[in-house]
Amino acid sequence: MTAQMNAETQHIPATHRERFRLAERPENEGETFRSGDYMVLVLATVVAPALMILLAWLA
Amino acid sequence: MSTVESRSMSTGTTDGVPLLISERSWRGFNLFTSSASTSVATWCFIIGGFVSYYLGAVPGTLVMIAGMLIGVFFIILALIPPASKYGIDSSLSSKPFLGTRGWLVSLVLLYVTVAGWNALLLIVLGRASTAVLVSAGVLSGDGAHGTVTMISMLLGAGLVWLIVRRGPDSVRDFSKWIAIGVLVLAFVVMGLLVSKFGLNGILEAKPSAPMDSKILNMTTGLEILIASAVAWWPYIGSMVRLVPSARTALWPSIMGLGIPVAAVSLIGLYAGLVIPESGGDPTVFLTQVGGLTFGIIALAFIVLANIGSIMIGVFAGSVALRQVPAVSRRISWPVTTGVALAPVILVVALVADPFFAHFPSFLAICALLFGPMCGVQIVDYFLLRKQRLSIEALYTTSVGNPYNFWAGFNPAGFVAIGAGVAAYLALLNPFTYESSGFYAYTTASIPSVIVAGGVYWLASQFVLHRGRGGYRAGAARVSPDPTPPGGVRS
Repeated sequence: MTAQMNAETQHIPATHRERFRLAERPENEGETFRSGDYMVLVLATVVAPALMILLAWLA
Repeated sequence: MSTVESRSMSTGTTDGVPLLISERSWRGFNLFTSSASTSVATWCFIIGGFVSYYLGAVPGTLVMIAGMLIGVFFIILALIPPASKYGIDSSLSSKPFLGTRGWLVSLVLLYVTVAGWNALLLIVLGRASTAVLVSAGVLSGDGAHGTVTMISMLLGAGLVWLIVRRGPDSVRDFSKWIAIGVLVLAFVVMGLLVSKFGLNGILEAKPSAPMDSKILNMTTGLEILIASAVAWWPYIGSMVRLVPSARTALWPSIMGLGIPVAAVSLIGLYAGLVIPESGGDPTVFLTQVGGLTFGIIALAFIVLANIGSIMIGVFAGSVALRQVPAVSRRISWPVTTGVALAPVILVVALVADPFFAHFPSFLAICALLFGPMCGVQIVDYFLLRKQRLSIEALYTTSVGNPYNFWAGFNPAGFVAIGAGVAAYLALLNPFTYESSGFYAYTTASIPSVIVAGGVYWLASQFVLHRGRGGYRAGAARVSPDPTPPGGVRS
Protein backbone atom coordinates (compact mmCIF):
# COMPACT_ATOMS: atom_id res chain seq x y z
CA MET A 1 0.00 0.00 0.00
CA THR A 2 2.77 2.43 0.90
CA ALA A 3 4.50 1.89 -2.44
CA GLN A 4 1.29 2.62 -4.31
CA MET A 5 0.68 5.74 -2.30
CA ASN A 6 4.29 6.78 -2.76
CA ALA A 7 3.78 6.62 -6.50
CA GLU A 8 0.73 8.82 -6.14
CA THR A 9 2.35 11.43 -3.94
CA GLN A 10 5.30 11.66 -6.34
CA HIS A 11 2.93 13.77 -8.43
CA ILE A 12 2.73 16.36 -5.66
CA PRO A 13 4.81 19.37 -6.73
CA ALA A 14 8.18 19.52 -5.03
CA THR A 15 7.18 22.78 -3.38
CA HIS A 16 4.41 20.95 -1.53
CA ARG A 17 6.28 17.80 -0.50
CA GLU A 18 7.73 19.31 2.62
CA ARG A 19 4.27 20.59 3.50
CA PHE A 20 2.79 17.09 3.26
CA ARG A 21 5.63 15.60 5.30
CA LEU A 22 5.10 18.15 8.06
CA ALA A 23 1.31 17.89 7.92
CA GLU A 24 1.54 14.23 8.96
CA ARG A 25 3.25 15.11 12.22
CA PRO A 26 1.17 15.15 15.44
CA GLU A 27 2.45 18.61 16.34
CA ASN A 28 0.65 19.90 13.27
CA GLU A 29 -2.68 18.59 14.52
CA GLY A 30 -4.98 21.19 16.01
CA GLU A 31 -6.30 20.96 19.55
CA THR A 32 -9.58 19.03 19.85
CA PHE A 33 -12.61 19.57 22.07
CA ARG A 34 -12.45 18.53 25.72
CA SER A 35 -15.42 17.15 27.62
CA GLY A 36 -16.32 20.59 29.02
CA ASP A 37 -16.51 21.96 25.48
CA TYR A 38 -19.13 19.38 24.53
CA MET A 39 -21.09 20.42 27.60
CA VAL A 40 -20.94 24.07 26.51
CA LEU A 41 -21.98 23.11 22.99
CA VAL A 42 -24.98 21.12 24.20
CA LEU A 43 -26.05 23.84 26.66
CA ALA A 44 -25.79 26.62 24.06
CA THR A 45 -27.20 24.84 21.03
CA VAL A 46 -29.55 22.19 22.44
CA VAL A 47 -30.72 23.11 25.94
CA ALA A 48 -31.05 26.88 25.35
CA PRO A 49 -33.03 26.41 22.09
CA ALA A 50 -35.28 23.89 23.83
CA LEU A 51 -36.08 26.48 26.49
CA MET A 52 -36.71 29.11 23.81
CA ILE A 53 -39.12 26.77 22.04
CA LEU A 54 -40.93 26.19 25.32
CA LEU A 55 -41.17 29.95 25.87
CA ALA A 56 -42.42 30.45 22.31
CA TRP A 57 -45.09 27.82 22.93
CA LEU A 58 -46.21 29.58 26.08
CA ALA A 59 -46.09 33.06 24.48
CA MET B 1 -5.10 39.88 7.28
CA SER B 2 -1.55 38.96 8.22
CA THR B 3 1.19 37.79 5.88
CA VAL B 4 0.73 34.24 7.08
CA GLU B 5 -2.97 34.37 6.38
CA SER B 6 -2.24 35.82 2.97
CA ARG B 7 0.04 32.89 2.29
CA SER B 8 -2.70 30.52 3.42
CA MET B 9 -5.11 32.19 1.07
CA SER B 10 -2.73 31.89 -1.84
CA THR B 11 -1.51 28.38 -1.19
CA GLY B 12 -3.59 26.25 1.10
CA THR B 13 -6.92 27.70 0.13
CA THR B 14 -6.59 27.81 -3.59
CA ASP B 15 -4.46 24.76 -4.27
CA GLY B 16 -6.07 22.20 -1.99
CA VAL B 17 -3.07 21.30 0.18
CA PRO B 18 -3.06 20.77 3.96
CA LEU B 19 -2.46 23.80 6.14
CA LEU B 20 0.26 23.49 8.74
CA ILE B 21 -0.43 24.58 12.30
CA SER B 22 1.94 27.55 11.89
CA GLU B 23 -0.20 28.78 8.98
CA ARG B 24 -3.44 28.49 10.92
CA SER B 25 -3.08 31.85 12.55
CA TRP B 26 -6.73 32.80 12.98
CA ARG B 27 -7.87 33.47 16.51
CA GLY B 28 -11.42 33.40 17.80
CA PHE B 29 -12.08 36.98 16.76
CA ASN B 30 -10.99 36.28 13.18
CA LEU B 31 -13.32 33.30 13.01
CA PHE B 32 -16.19 35.25 14.56
CA THR B 33 -15.92 38.15 12.12
CA SER B 34 -15.36 35.83 9.20
CA SER B 35 -18.33 33.58 10.14
CA ALA B 36 -20.58 36.54 10.71
CA SER B 37 -19.52 38.32 7.55
CA THR B 38 -19.93 35.23 5.39
CA SER B 39 -23.34 34.36 6.73
CA VAL B 40 -24.84 37.85 7.06
CA ALA B 41 -26.13 39.08 3.72
CA THR B 42 -29.41 40.31 2.32
CA TRP B 43 -30.68 36.72 2.11
CA CYS B 44 -31.28 36.96 5.87
CA PHE B 45 -34.18 39.36 5.24
CA ILE B 46 -35.78 36.85 2.86
CA ILE B 47 -35.40 34.02 5.40
CA GLY B 48 -37.10 36.12 8.09
CA GLY B 49 -39.80 37.16 5.65
CA PHE B 50 -40.63 33.53 5.01
CA VAL B 51 -41.06 32.89 8.73
CA SER B 52 -43.49 35.84 8.88
CA TYR B 53 -45.98 33.70 6.95
CA TYR B 54 -46.27 31.40 9.97
CA LEU B 55 -45.30 33.16 13.19
CA GLY B 56 -45.84 36.46 14.94
CA ALA B 57 -43.06 38.63 16.38
CA VAL B 58 -42.60 37.04 19.82
CA PRO B 59 -42.80 33.33 18.99
CA GLY B 60 -41.03 34.02 15.69
CA THR B 61 -38.10 35.69 17.46
CA LEU B 62 -37.67 32.82 19.92
CA VAL B 63 -38.15 30.06 17.35
CA MET B 64 -35.78 31.63 14.82
CA ILE B 65 -32.93 31.97 17.32
CA ALA B 66 -33.60 28.42 18.56
CA GLY B 67 -33.66 26.99 15.05
CA MET B 68 -30.42 28.68 14.08
CA LEU B 69 -28.67 27.37 17.20
CA ILE B 70 -29.91 23.82 16.66
CA GLY B 71 -28.66 23.88 13.07
CA VAL B 72 -25.33 25.28 14.25
CA PHE B 73 -25.06 22.34 16.71
CA PHE B 74 -25.01 19.86 13.83
CA ILE B 75 -22.46 21.66 11.68
CA ILE B 76 -20.18 22.46 14.62
CA LEU B 77 -20.16 18.83 15.77
CA ALA B 78 -19.68 17.52 12.24
CA LEU B 79 -17.06 19.94 10.94
CA ILE B 80 -15.11 21.78 13.60
CA PRO B 81 -13.29 18.77 15.10
CA PRO B 82 -11.86 17.38 11.82
CA ALA B 83 -11.41 20.75 10.10
CA SER B 84 -9.53 22.36 12.98
CA LYS B 85 -7.51 19.28 13.84
CA TYR B 86 -6.25 18.59 10.32
CA GLY B 87 -6.64 21.97 8.60
CA ILE B 88 -9.00 20.58 5.96
CA ASP B 89 -12.07 22.13 4.39
CA SER B 90 -15.64 20.82 4.29
CA SER B 91 -15.56 18.97 1.00
CA LEU B 92 -12.23 17.24 1.69
CA SER B 93 -13.47 16.23 5.13
CA SER B 94 -16.14 14.13 3.38
CA LYS B 95 -13.53 11.85 1.78
CA PRO B 96 -13.31 9.47 4.79
CA PHE B 97 -17.04 8.69 4.60
CA LEU B 98 -17.78 9.09 0.88
CA GLY B 99 -14.55 7.75 -0.61
CA THR B 100 -11.78 9.13 -2.79
CA ARG B 101 -14.16 9.49 -5.73
CA GLY B 102 -17.40 9.75 -3.81
CA TRP B 103 -16.31 12.98 -2.13
CA LEU B 104 -16.73 14.68 -5.49
CA VAL B 105 -20.46 14.47 -4.76
CA SER B 106 -19.95 16.85 -1.84
CA LEU B 107 -17.97 19.14 -4.14
CA VAL B 108 -20.84 19.14 -6.62
CA LEU B 109 -23.30 19.90 -3.81
CA LEU B 110 -21.06 22.72 -2.62
CA TYR B 111 -20.82 24.11 -6.15
CA VAL B 112 -24.58 23.90 -6.72
CA THR B 113 -25.65 25.33 -3.36
CA VAL B 114 -23.14 28.19 -3.50
CA ALA B 115 -24.48 28.92 -6.98
CA GLY B 116 -28.00 28.92 -5.52
CA TRP B 117 -27.12 31.42 -2.80
CA ASN B 118 -25.36 33.60 -5.38
CA ALA B 119 -28.35 33.43 -7.72
CA LEU B 120 -30.60 34.66 -4.91
CA LEU B 121 -28.25 37.57 -4.22
CA LEU B 122 -28.02 38.45 -7.92
CA ILE B 123 -31.81 38.46 -8.21
CA VAL B 124 -32.10 40.77 -5.18
CA LEU B 125 -29.37 42.92 -6.76
CA GLY B 126 -31.35 43.16 -10.00
CA ARG B 127 -34.55 44.02 -8.16
CA ALA B 128 -32.79 46.60 -6.00
CA SER B 129 -31.29 48.26 -9.09
CA THR B 130 -34.70 48.45 -10.71
CA ALA B 131 -36.25 49.77 -7.49
CA VAL B 132 -33.59 52.51 -7.35
CA LEU B 133 -34.38 53.56 -10.91
CA VAL B 134 -38.13 53.52 -10.24
CA SER B 135 -37.72 55.49 -6.99
CA ALA B 136 -35.49 58.03 -8.72
CA GLY B 137 -38.10 58.50 -11.43
CA VAL B 138 -35.89 57.12 -14.21
CA LEU B 139 -38.37 54.29 -14.80
CA SER B 140 -42.12 54.51 -14.53
CA GLY B 141 -43.59 52.82 -11.48
CA ASP B 142 -46.30 50.86 -13.24
CA GLY B 143 -44.47 49.12 -16.06
CA ALA B 144 -42.86 45.69 -16.28
CA HIS B 145 -39.14 46.06 -15.68
CA GLY B 146 -37.96 42.54 -16.44
CA THR B 147 -35.44 43.68 -19.05
CA VAL B 148 -33.92 46.32 -16.76
CA THR B 149 -33.69 43.81 -13.92
CA MET B 150 -32.08 41.26 -16.23
CA ILE B 151 -29.51 43.75 -17.53
CA SER B 152 -28.71 44.76 -13.94
CA MET B 153 -28.19 41.15 -12.93
CA LEU B 154 -25.93 40.41 -15.90
CA LEU B 155 -23.93 43.60 -15.34
CA GLY B 156 -23.56 42.62 -11.69
CA ALA B 157 -22.36 39.14 -12.67
CA GLY B 158 -19.88 40.62 -15.13
CA LEU B 159 -18.51 43.01 -12.54
CA VAL B 160 -18.13 40.17 -10.02
CA TRP B 161 -16.19 38.12 -12.55
CA LEU B 162 -13.89 41.01 -13.47
CA ILE B 163 -12.96 41.46 -9.80
CA VAL B 164 -12.75 37.83 -8.61
CA ARG B 165 -10.70 36.68 -11.61
CA ARG B 166 -7.84 38.77 -10.20
CA GLY B 167 -7.48 36.33 -7.31
CA PRO B 168 -8.13 36.03 -3.59
CA ASP B 169 -6.59 39.40 -2.74
CA SER B 170 -9.54 41.10 -4.41
CA VAL B 171 -11.99 39.34 -2.09
CA ARG B 172 -10.04 39.49 1.13
CA ASP B 173 -11.54 42.32 3.13
CA PHE B 174 -14.87 42.69 1.39
CA SER B 175 -16.88 40.35 3.58
CA LYS B 176 -16.15 42.22 6.81
CA TRP B 177 -17.42 45.55 5.46
CA ILE B 178 -20.45 43.94 3.86
CA ALA B 179 -21.46 42.33 7.15
CA ILE B 180 -20.99 45.57 9.06
CA GLY B 181 -23.00 47.42 6.42
CA VAL B 182 -25.84 44.87 6.43
CA LEU B 183 -25.95 44.93 10.24
CA VAL B 184 -26.11 48.75 10.24
CA LEU B 185 -28.83 48.62 7.58
CA ALA B 186 -30.73 46.09 9.70
CA PHE B 187 -30.58 48.30 12.79
CA VAL B 188 -31.64 51.38 10.83
CA VAL B 189 -34.53 49.45 9.26
CA MET B 190 -35.53 48.19 12.71
CA GLY B 191 -35.58 51.76 14.00
CA LEU B 192 -37.68 52.87 11.05
CA LEU B 193 -40.11 49.97 11.51
CA VAL B 194 -40.56 50.84 15.18
CA SER B 195 -41.02 54.55 14.46
CA LYS B 196 -43.48 53.91 11.61
CA PHE B 197 -45.53 51.06 13.06
CA GLY B 198 -44.75 51.31 16.78
CA LEU B 199 -43.48 48.49 18.98
CA ASN B 200 -47.04 47.35 19.67
CA GLY B 201 -47.79 47.37 15.95
CA ILE B 202 -44.96 44.93 15.34
CA LEU B 203 -45.74 42.78 18.38
CA GLU B 204 -49.42 42.55 17.51
CA ALA B 205 -49.00 42.01 13.75
CA LYS B 206 -50.40 38.67 12.61
CA PRO B 207 -48.53 36.21 10.42
CA SER B 208 -49.69 36.45 6.82
CA ALA B 209 -50.34 32.80 5.96
CA PRO B 210 -50.37 30.67 9.11
CA MET B 211 -51.46 27.06 9.17
CA ASP B 212 -54.29 25.95 11.44
CA SER B 213 -52.01 24.20 13.91
CA LYS B 214 -49.91 26.29 16.30
CA ILE B 215 -47.32 23.57 16.66
CA LEU B 216 -47.01 23.18 12.87
CA ASN B 217 -46.33 26.91 12.50
CA MET B 218 -43.64 26.76 15.15
CA THR B 219 -42.05 23.64 13.71
CA THR B 220 -41.97 25.13 10.22
CA GLY B 221 -40.30 28.28 11.54
CA LEU B 222 -37.80 26.08 13.35
CA GLU B 223 -37.23 23.94 10.26
CA ILE B 224 -36.51 26.99 8.07
CA LEU B 225 -33.80 28.23 10.42
CA ILE B 226 -32.28 24.78 10.96
CA ALA B 227 -32.11 24.50 7.17
CA SER B 228 -30.48 27.93 6.92
CA ALA B 229 -27.78 26.89 9.39
CA VAL B 230 -27.14 23.43 7.97
CA ALA B 231 -26.86 24.97 4.50
CA TRP B 232 -23.58 26.49 5.70
CA TRP B 233 -21.88 23.09 5.77
CA PRO B 234 -19.92 23.80 2.57
CA TYR B 235 -18.57 27.12 3.85
CA ILE B 236 -17.59 26.31 7.42
CA GLY B 237 -14.58 24.09 6.83
CA SER B 238 -12.71 26.64 4.76
CA MET B 239 -12.89 29.09 7.68
CA VAL B 240 -12.41 26.73 10.62
CA ARG B 241 -9.35 25.12 9.01
CA LEU B 242 -7.51 28.40 9.62
CA VAL B 243 -8.01 28.08 13.39
CA PRO B 244 -5.49 25.84 15.20
CA SER B 245 -7.89 24.67 17.91
CA ALA B 246 -11.43 23.34 18.01
CA ARG B 247 -11.76 24.86 21.48
CA THR B 248 -10.88 28.30 20.12
CA ALA B 249 -13.39 27.83 17.31
CA LEU B 250 -16.35 26.82 19.48
CA TRP B 251 -17.81 30.09 20.77
CA PRO B 252 -16.90 32.17 17.71
CA SER B 253 -18.75 29.63 15.56
CA ILE B 254 -21.83 29.63 17.78
CA MET B 255 -21.88 33.42 18.00
CA GLY B 256 -20.67 34.13 14.47
CA LEU B 257 -22.96 31.73 12.63
CA GLY B 258 -25.96 31.52 14.89
CA ILE B 259 -26.65 34.95 16.29
CA PRO B 260 -25.96 37.49 13.48
CA VAL B 261 -28.00 35.57 10.90
CA ALA B 262 -30.87 35.19 13.36
CA ALA B 263 -30.64 38.89 14.29
CA VAL B 264 -30.80 40.18 10.71
CA SER B 265 -33.42 37.59 9.78
CA LEU B 266 -35.57 38.96 12.60
CA ILE B 267 -35.75 42.32 10.80
CA GLY B 268 -37.06 40.41 7.77
CA LEU B 269 -39.61 38.76 10.07
CA TYR B 270 -40.81 42.07 11.50
CA ALA B 271 -40.90 43.75 8.08
CA GLY B 272 -42.82 40.78 6.68
CA LEU B 273 -45.32 41.03 9.53
CA VAL B 274 -46.09 44.76 9.21
CA ILE B 275 -45.75 44.90 5.41
CA PRO B 276 -47.07 41.46 4.43
CA GLU B 277 -46.84 42.07 0.68
CA SER B 278 -43.05 42.48 1.02
CA GLY B 279 -42.44 38.96 2.32
CA GLY B 280 -39.35 40.43 4.00
CA ASP B 281 -37.87 41.48 0.64
CA PRO B 282 -35.99 44.73 1.32
CA THR B 283 -36.34 45.86 -2.29
CA VAL B 284 -40.10 46.06 -1.63
CA PHE B 285 -40.25 47.57 1.85
CA LEU B 286 -37.27 49.96 2.07
CA THR B 287 -38.86 52.95 0.34
CA GLN B 288 -42.12 52.27 2.19
CA VAL B 289 -40.55 52.48 5.63
CA GLY B 290 -37.79 54.99 4.99
CA GLY B 291 -39.12 57.31 2.32
CA LEU B 292 -37.64 58.05 -1.08
CA THR B 293 -34.17 59.33 -0.14
CA PHE B 294 -33.44 56.66 2.44
CA GLY B 295 -34.92 54.02 0.14
CA ILE B 296 -32.64 54.95 -2.75
CA ILE B 297 -29.54 55.04 -0.54
CA ALA B 298 -30.40 51.73 1.14
CA LEU B 299 -31.21 50.04 -2.16
CA ALA B 300 -27.97 51.29 -3.69
CA PHE B 301 -26.17 49.86 -0.67
CA ILE B 302 -27.92 46.52 -1.23
CA VAL B 303 -26.65 46.49 -4.81
CA LEU B 304 -23.06 47.04 -3.63
CA ALA B 305 -23.35 44.63 -0.70
CA ASN B 306 -24.72 41.90 -2.92
CA ILE B 307 -21.89 42.35 -5.41
CA GLY B 308 -19.48 41.80 -2.50
CA SER B 309 -21.39 38.79 -1.17
CA ILE B 310 -21.52 37.20 -4.63
CA MET B 311 -17.78 37.74 -4.97
CA ILE B 312 -17.23 35.76 -1.78
CA GLY B 313 -19.58 33.03 -3.00
CA VAL B 314 -17.89 32.81 -6.40
CA PHE B 315 -14.53 32.67 -4.65
CA ALA B 316 -15.74 29.79 -2.43
CA GLY B 317 -17.14 27.94 -5.45
CA SER B 318 -13.92 28.46 -7.38
CA VAL B 319 -11.80 27.16 -4.50
CA ALA B 320 -14.04 24.09 -4.35
CA LEU B 321 -13.65 23.48 -8.07
CA ARG B 322 -9.89 23.70 -7.77
CA GLN B 323 -9.91 20.89 -5.22
CA VAL B 324 -10.38 18.63 -8.26
CA PRO B 325 -6.83 17.91 -9.50
CA ALA B 326 -7.91 17.89 -13.15
CA VAL B 327 -9.35 21.38 -12.74
CA SER B 328 -6.43 22.89 -10.85
CA ARG B 329 -3.93 21.41 -13.34
CA ARG B 330 -5.69 22.34 -16.57
CA ILE B 331 -7.79 25.43 -15.91
CA SER B 332 -6.53 28.83 -14.90
CA TRP B 333 -7.97 30.74 -11.94
CA PRO B 334 -9.82 33.28 -14.13
CA VAL B 335 -11.50 30.47 -16.09
CA THR B 336 -12.38 28.67 -12.84
CA THR B 337 -14.14 31.79 -11.56
CA GLY B 338 -16.06 31.93 -14.84
CA VAL B 339 -17.11 28.29 -14.41
CA ALA B 340 -18.21 29.04 -10.84
CA LEU B 341 -20.30 31.96 -12.05
CA ALA B 342 -21.82 30.20 -15.07
CA PRO B 343 -24.69 28.36 -13.28
CA VAL B 344 -25.59 31.56 -11.43
CA ILE B 345 -25.95 33.41 -14.73
CA LEU B 346 -27.98 30.53 -16.16
CA VAL B 347 -30.39 30.58 -13.21
CA VAL B 348 -30.95 34.34 -13.29
CA ALA B 349 -31.23 34.39 -17.07
CA LEU B 350 -33.71 31.54 -17.34
CA VAL B 351 -35.62 31.10 -14.08
CA ALA B 352 -35.02 34.16 -11.91
CA ASP B 353 -38.61 34.71 -10.78
CA PRO B 354 -39.49 31.03 -10.16
CA PHE B 355 -36.21 30.56 -8.29
CA PHE B 356 -36.89 33.56 -6.06
CA ALA B 357 -40.47 32.42 -5.45
CA HIS B 358 -39.26 28.93 -4.50
CA PHE B 359 -36.40 30.07 -2.25
CA PRO B 360 -37.90 28.17 0.72
CA SER B 361 -37.64 25.01 -1.39
CA PHE B 362 -33.97 25.76 -2.03
CA LEU B 363 -33.46 26.06 1.73
CA ALA B 364 -35.30 22.78 2.33
CA ILE B 365 -33.21 21.01 -0.32
CA CYS B 366 -30.04 22.28 1.38
CA ALA B 367 -31.25 20.75 4.66
CA LEU B 368 -32.33 17.59 2.82
CA LEU B 369 -28.77 17.07 1.56
CA PHE B 370 -26.49 18.54 4.20
CA GLY B 371 -28.42 17.34 7.26
CA PRO B 372 -27.74 13.66 6.51
CA MET B 373 -24.17 14.57 5.58
CA CYS B 374 -23.71 15.99 9.10
CA GLY B 375 -25.17 12.84 10.69
CA VAL B 376 -22.85 10.57 8.72
CA GLN B 377 -19.81 12.74 9.38
CA ILE B 378 -20.43 12.85 13.14
CA VAL B 379 -20.75 9.06 13.39
CA ASP B 380 -17.79 8.43 11.10
CA TYR B 381 -15.41 10.80 12.87
CA PHE B 382 -16.36 10.22 16.50
CA LEU B 383 -17.64 6.65 16.69
CA LEU B 384 -15.86 4.83 13.89
CA ARG B 385 -12.57 6.66 13.41
CA LYS B 386 -12.12 7.76 17.03
CA GLN B 387 -11.19 11.26 15.84
CA ARG B 388 -8.24 10.13 13.71
CA LEU B 389 -7.87 10.74 9.96
CA SER B 390 -4.96 10.10 7.63
CA ILE B 391 -3.59 13.20 5.90
CA GLU B 392 -1.87 10.94 3.38
CA ALA B 393 -5.13 9.21 2.48
CA LEU B 394 -7.00 12.51 2.30
CA TYR B 395 -4.72 13.92 -0.38
CA THR B 396 -3.98 10.89 -2.54
CA THR B 397 -6.07 8.62 -4.77
CA SER B 398 -3.88 5.56 -5.31
CA VAL B 399 -5.27 2.02 -5.29
CA GLY B 400 -3.95 1.36 -1.79
CA ASN B 401 -5.63 4.38 -0.25
CA PRO B 402 -7.86 3.22 2.65
CA TYR B 403 -10.46 5.82 1.73
CA ASN B 404 -10.90 4.14 -1.66
CA PHE B 405 -13.38 1.63 -0.17
CA TRP B 406 -14.77 0.13 -3.40
CA ALA B 407 -13.70 1.90 -6.61
CA GLY B 408 -13.42 5.16 -4.69
CA PHE B 409 -16.93 5.03 -3.21
CA ASN B 410 -18.08 4.13 0.29
CA PRO B 411 -21.48 2.47 -0.18
CA ALA B 412 -22.26 2.90 3.53
CA GLY B 413 -21.99 6.68 3.18
CA PHE B 414 -24.29 6.84 0.19
CA VAL B 415 -26.84 4.40 1.63
CA ALA B 416 -26.92 6.40 4.88
CA ILE B 417 -27.33 9.76 3.13
CA GLY B 418 -30.06 8.17 1.00
CA ALA B 419 -31.80 6.96 4.16
CA GLY B 420 -31.55 10.44 5.68
CA VAL B 421 -33.01 11.99 2.52
CA ALA B 422 -35.84 9.42 2.56
CA ALA B 423 -36.57 10.21 6.22
CA TYR B 424 -36.73 13.91 5.41
CA LEU B 425 -39.02 13.36 2.42
CA ALA B 426 -41.29 11.12 4.49
CA LEU B 427 -41.85 14.03 6.86
CA LEU B 428 -41.77 17.12 4.67
CA ASN B 429 -42.23 17.88 1.00
CA PRO B 430 -39.48 20.43 0.25
CA PHE B 431 -41.41 21.94 -2.65
CA THR B 432 -44.83 22.41 -1.05
CA TYR B 433 -43.91 22.32 2.65
CA GLU B 434 -46.73 19.82 3.16
CA SER B 435 -45.85 17.73 6.18
CA SER B 436 -46.81 14.31 7.42
CA GLY B 437 -46.12 11.86 10.22
CA PHE B 438 -44.56 13.26 13.37
CA TYR B 439 -42.99 16.27 11.61
CA ALA B 440 -44.86 18.67 13.88
CA TYR B 441 -43.00 17.27 16.90
CA THR B 442 -39.54 16.65 15.40
CA THR B 443 -39.01 18.82 12.31
CA ALA B 444 -37.73 16.99 9.23
CA SER B 445 -34.04 17.90 9.51
CA ILE B 446 -33.41 16.47 12.98
CA PRO B 447 -34.76 12.97 12.19
CA SER B 448 -32.90 12.94 8.87
CA VAL B 449 -29.60 13.65 10.67
CA ILE B 450 -30.30 10.89 13.23
CA VAL B 451 -31.49 8.35 10.65
CA ALA B 452 -28.47 8.99 8.40
CA GLY B 453 -26.07 8.62 11.33
CA GLY B 454 -27.73 5.42 12.57
CA VAL B 455 -27.88 3.81 9.15
CA TYR B 456 -24.26 4.77 8.53
CA TRP B 457 -23.14 3.09 11.74
CA LEU B 458 -25.03 -0.08 10.83
CA ALA B 459 -23.87 -0.16 7.21
CA SER B 460 -20.30 0.53 8.25
CA GLN B 461 -20.25 -2.71 10.24
CA PHE B 462 -20.23 -4.46 6.86
CA VAL B 463 -17.41 -2.19 5.66
CA LEU B 464 -15.46 -2.86 8.84
CA HIS B 465 -16.04 -6.60 8.49
CA ARG B 466 -14.55 -6.46 4.98
CA GLY B 467 -11.51 -4.59 6.28
CA ARG B 468 -12.10 -1.51 4.11
CA GLY B 469 -11.98 2.17 5.03
CA GLY B 470 -8.86 2.12 7.19
CA TYR B 471 -10.95 2.20 10.37
CA ARG B 472 -8.88 -0.24 12.38
CA ALA B 473 -5.58 1.31 11.28
CA GLY B 474 -6.88 4.81 12.00
CA ALA B 475 -8.17 3.98 15.46
CA ALA B 476 -5.06 2.06 16.44
CA ARG B 477 -2.64 4.65 15.11
CA VAL B 478 -1.18 6.38 18.15
CA SER B 479 2.43 6.64 17.10
CA PRO B 480 3.82 10.00 18.17
CA ASP B 481 5.92 10.24 15.01
CA PRO B 482 4.05 8.64 12.13
CA THR B 483 5.98 7.72 9.05
CA PRO B 484 5.58 10.50 6.53
CA PRO B 485 4.34 9.62 3.07
CA GLY B 486 7.30 8.05 1.33
CA GLY B 487 6.62 9.96 -1.83
CA VAL B 488 6.98 13.26 -0.09
CA ARG B 489 10.09 12.35 1.88
CA SER B 490 12.84 14.59 0.66
